[in-house]
Amino acid sequence: MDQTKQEEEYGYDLFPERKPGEHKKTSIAESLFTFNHKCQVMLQFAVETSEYQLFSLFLSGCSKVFKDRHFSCEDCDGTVSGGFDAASSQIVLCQNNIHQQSHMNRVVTHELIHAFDHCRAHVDWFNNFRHLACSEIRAANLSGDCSFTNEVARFNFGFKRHHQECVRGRALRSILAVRKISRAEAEKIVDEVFDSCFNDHAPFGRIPHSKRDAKFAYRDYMNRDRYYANL
Amino acid sequence: THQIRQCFSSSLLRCIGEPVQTVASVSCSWGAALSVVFCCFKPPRACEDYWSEFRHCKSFKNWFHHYYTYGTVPSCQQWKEDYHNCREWEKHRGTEAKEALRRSEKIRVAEQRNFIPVWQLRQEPPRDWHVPLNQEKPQDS
Repeated sequence: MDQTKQEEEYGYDLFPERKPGEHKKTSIAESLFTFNHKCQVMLQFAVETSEYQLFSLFLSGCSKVFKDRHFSCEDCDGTVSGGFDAASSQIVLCQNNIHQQSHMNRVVTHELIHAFDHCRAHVDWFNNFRHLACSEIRAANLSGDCSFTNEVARFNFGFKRHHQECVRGRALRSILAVRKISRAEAEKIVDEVFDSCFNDHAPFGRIPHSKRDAKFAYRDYMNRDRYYANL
Repeated sequence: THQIRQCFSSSLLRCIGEPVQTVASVSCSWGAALSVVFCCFKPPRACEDYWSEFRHCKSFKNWFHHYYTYGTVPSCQQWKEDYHNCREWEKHRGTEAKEALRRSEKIRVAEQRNFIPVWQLRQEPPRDWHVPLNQEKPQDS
């Protein structure tokens, strides 16, 4: 498969600074004339939040996530906010599309869920649409993307069971953004895996809607030895 | 008898403070056997944890999020029962309370696993997770 085709097939065309298999270091000029510095600062704040600390503990076999190795601030096309590049084990943050700290926090959590799935399972990101859909469903479900307040800010005023509609919709959007398949096909795949993936709350054990949920998830994680020994 | 008593009380103290598995490694005979009978089990969660889960479950915020996610109101009674069983076990060490707690937690674990995974879990993390991006550039951690 030639390079251009591969770029389009796997969504790399959204991340023009990122060619599959290559790594480019940001130059000083680029740092000055892009949002790179702002992105780095916001990322630093994001990794200092307690949710991040908690999450990095959970990261299963990939015991440590290093800010300099596993995160990259880059310019991206369109309105995409971030991505997970399995080829280089990096979380991409779109410096030109993330302008608020709360947005940064949410994108970091969303992409960390992809990283978590990559670390704990054999996810075939490039060839298996069901795997991709599953991770997108989980990321939309567990990252706070679909919280009531975020949906209202997008002028989506649903309430009863609206969370699930939002998760479905956002997973669909994410798949269509990075893969060349029809909407009908993508919907079918999301429907097939939705029940399984929506109910997979690893590593939290619950859908973390609030700080207290996150705190209790952390408590359960620290207590896991005692818990399973006494069942 | 003095030795058995000493062995029993030290096993008991260790059992209260440490995970169940270590009790089996205590090498003294009768004392260890007695302490295993008495304290082989601890409630899966601390009793205060059951109570805080109950309070959290009953909160307005949780009601709101649950209805927003599932379209139903959350059911919190089980946390309260577990809390009472936990306290009951602490006071009287009864088997009924212990079994009720175990049953309840096993149901919770089953609910968490009530789906067919789409992918296969790894035995080890991906090999290239920590591999540096550029061979000539040293990576900061």
